[in-house]
Amino acid sequence: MFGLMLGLSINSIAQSLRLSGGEVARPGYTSALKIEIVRGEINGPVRFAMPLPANWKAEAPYESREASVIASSTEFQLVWLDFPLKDTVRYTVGLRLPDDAELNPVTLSGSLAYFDANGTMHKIAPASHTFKVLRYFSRYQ
Amino acid sequence: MFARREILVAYFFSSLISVLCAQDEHVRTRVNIEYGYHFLSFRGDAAVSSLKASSPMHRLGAGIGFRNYMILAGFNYSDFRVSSTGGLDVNNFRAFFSGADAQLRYSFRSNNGLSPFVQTGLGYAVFSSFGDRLDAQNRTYFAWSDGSLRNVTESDPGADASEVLTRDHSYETRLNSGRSTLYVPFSIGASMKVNKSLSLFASVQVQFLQSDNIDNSTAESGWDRMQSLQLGINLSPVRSEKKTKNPKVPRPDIKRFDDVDFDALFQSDEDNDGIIDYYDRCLGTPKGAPIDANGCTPDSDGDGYVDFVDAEPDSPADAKVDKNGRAYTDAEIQQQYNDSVGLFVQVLRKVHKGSRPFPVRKYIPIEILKLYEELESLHPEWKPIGGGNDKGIPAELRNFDRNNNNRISVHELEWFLNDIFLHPEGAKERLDLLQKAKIYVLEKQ
Repeated sequence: MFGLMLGLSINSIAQSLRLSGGEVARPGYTSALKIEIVRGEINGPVRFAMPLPANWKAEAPYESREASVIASSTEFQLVWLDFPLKDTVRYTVGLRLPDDAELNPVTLSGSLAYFDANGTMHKIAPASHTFKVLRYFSRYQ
Repeated sequence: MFARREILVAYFFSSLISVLCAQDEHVRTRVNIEYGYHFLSFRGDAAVSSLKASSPMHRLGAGIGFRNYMILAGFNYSDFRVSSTGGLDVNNFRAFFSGADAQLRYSFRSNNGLSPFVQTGLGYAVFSSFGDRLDAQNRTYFAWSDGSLRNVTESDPGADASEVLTRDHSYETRLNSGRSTLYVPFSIGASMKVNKSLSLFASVQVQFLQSDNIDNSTAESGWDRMQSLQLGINLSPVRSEKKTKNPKVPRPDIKRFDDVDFDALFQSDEDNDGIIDYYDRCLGTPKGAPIDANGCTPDSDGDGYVDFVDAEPDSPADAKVDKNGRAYTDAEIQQQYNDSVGLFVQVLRKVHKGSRPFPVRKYIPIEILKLYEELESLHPEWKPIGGGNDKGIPAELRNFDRNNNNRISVHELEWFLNDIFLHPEGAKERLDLLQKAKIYVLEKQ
């Protein structure tokens, strides 16, 4: 009985992905995007991928969490050989906008995949975050 | 059609409103209410010296003060009676005087204590006058040369039988009614603060009237005037500041900066670099140092050491520099590398009694290991971490060595893993192989 309750309790912490950041991003400047992964049942190699808008550039992360950063001109990727033994893993990446970025809202969508012990790949629900691309900050905007 | 007088009054009041509205928005203003009691003295035409007002005048005013000025709008009212003391004339009268005026007061000192002031303005008044021409039996007074009042004139044929009359001071005869006049008040006085919101004042005031008819006599040239000694009380219950569009924006308290010499402040150049402090982005520039237009000493190579003190002003971009701004040489970087990694390896081997092969890499965090591997790739002559494995990469793991340097790096492992995610066919076997490669990299290589 106790074991069943414990099992239910552990299973109740589901792995999840969340993106968050500032509301506004400015052309020519770097904005921070936080990637938050709840470990849940993940126990093995993990990969996070996020397509980047044209000419956006992922910059050096503000903090490292034992991941390998693979940044191309079109996609930002994180690969963990061994996913950290933490309930929640957080990673912050800087996204630099081109000087001529269009002043429209931009939604970034990230996906997370992992392998279980049997070598089966699982994907969890993608997460997204929207930046308003504005030239100037203003409390009236 | 408006009379010229009314137009003049309207112009005066509109000018006052303009003055008020034109005040600087940062000027602190004070709302004032005051009451004045006038000991009135009337100066008219007939027997001037003998006519004395016997009633006071009341004045109620409200105004706005700013700096040393106060603009006041007030209302005056008096029911005064002027009595003959000699009885030679019959010009005793009673006048109802109501006036409204606007005045400007200038105080010579606005802080606590006694503040002398002068005050003047323009007013508009209406008045009605009544005379005491009949006694209680409705007999008309006639002034005789002996100073008496009688019921017939002195030249009347029946003068011998005349009767001496006594004034009843009833002012029953209407002399004029509803007449108006402009007047110019002028005051000199002083006020004294009792506390922050209460002050007392006293002044001598003359009201120059544009009328000669208050006493209903035009015997002498010149207009009538009213003189008074005024005692009053002034309340300033509300201190307000002129509203701005955004009330959240703090307004400077001008009084706080009374003792600030702004001229000196704006001309200050503390570091004597020729750029005044207000525009100088780099205060405290060393004496004699070259500066740019912003007052800053340039740092040509961007290494954090300005050229003035930089031992090597043209260090390569992104070069690691020492405390003098000089870029480290490769030999110096290698020495630092050996001092850190090499010493670390030596300590581990000593702990494990020098046994080889020893899994040194296993004890180094992966992200640090990757950093060192990058250094090793830049400097192939450096001794690899862990001492290397002379036996070479096992055959089944050679595909991991993407750059064919006979070593497998952590980065190459991650590339392999990324490829499994992108092409997950046969993932189980490839993940097992990845695990073997990882053990090899961390423990045997």
